[in-house]
Amino acid sequence: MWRWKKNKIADEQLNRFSSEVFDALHVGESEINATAQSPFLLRRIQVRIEAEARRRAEANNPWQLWLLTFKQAVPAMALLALVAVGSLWALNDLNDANGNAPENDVATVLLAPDNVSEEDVSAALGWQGN
Amino acid sequence: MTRTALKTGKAAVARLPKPVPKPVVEVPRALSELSDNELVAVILQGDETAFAQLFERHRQLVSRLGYRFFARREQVEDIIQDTFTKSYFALRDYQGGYEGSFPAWLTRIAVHTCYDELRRQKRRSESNLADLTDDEAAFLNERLHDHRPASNIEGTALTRDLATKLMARLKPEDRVVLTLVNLEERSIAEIADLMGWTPGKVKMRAFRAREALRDVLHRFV
Repeated sequence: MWRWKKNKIADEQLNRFSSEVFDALHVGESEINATAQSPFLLRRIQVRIEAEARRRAEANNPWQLWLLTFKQAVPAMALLALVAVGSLWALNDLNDANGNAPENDVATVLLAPDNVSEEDVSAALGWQGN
Repeated sequence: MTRTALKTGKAAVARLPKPVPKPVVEVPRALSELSDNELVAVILQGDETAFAQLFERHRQLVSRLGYRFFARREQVEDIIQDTFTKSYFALRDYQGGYEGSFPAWLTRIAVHTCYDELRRQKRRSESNLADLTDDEAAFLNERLHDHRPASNIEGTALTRDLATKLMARLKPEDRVVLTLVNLEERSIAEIADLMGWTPGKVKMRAFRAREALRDVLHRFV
């Protein structure tokens, strides 16, 4: 009986306090108006709408998405090509500096038959001359 | 007047072109004079300025709803932005079947936006938002043991911040139902329509939500 009475009081307290919680959550009209009238709110919405419209357009058109990706990849590819050409150039300069001129290169010699005598060919193939 | 002159006069009248009825020229009305439904039609034809007019008319409604669920101004501003952005892209749906009342349709979008945000907060486990300071916990304990009516206790009113923290301990579904019932004072049928639930589900949710709030408070008794 005593326990039941105690629970009942607690229940009433809790119910009453619940209503107090809701009362405390009420916000004044002035605050509501101030937020509604915030400057640039409409502009920010318009920006969001534009961004969302762009995103939807891209999602609906995979070709456009592919083109956009390609456009973004162009500078990276150009940079890579530049690096490749630059390193080739640098290698050639290094070869020149070391005296490995192209005319002394094995490939160059073999590819120019006028420069090669029969002895050279037999030496290269490991044959003994008669 | 001689007979000849009379004849000539008649002939002249006969030669006159018949009066052409003037075409009804629609005088373009100012956007502020158009109804919500007319503004929606104008936006769908590509006139973006009509959307600004709709925003102007209903931003207060969305702001009020935002404050029912969130306490901070920047959160409410986010809700306003999300709601109007979503509504812009859903205008065709509005024209397709909800033409009864634009505010009712916008309210539905705003409530769902708030509900989504509450769920997002819960997922991000922003539990720190619900953490009570020692002072607040002591205050709650004292108030829950005080059997005098609130009006008789001077200077001990529950703050909005503390009330928000208590509500943040509830599930998003419970918060939505309690807010719509107790703050917005909506009927079961209205909540069912807003949330897309059955009235039975709303009743059950409301009962469970009240129990959940009592459980939250009970921890401080």
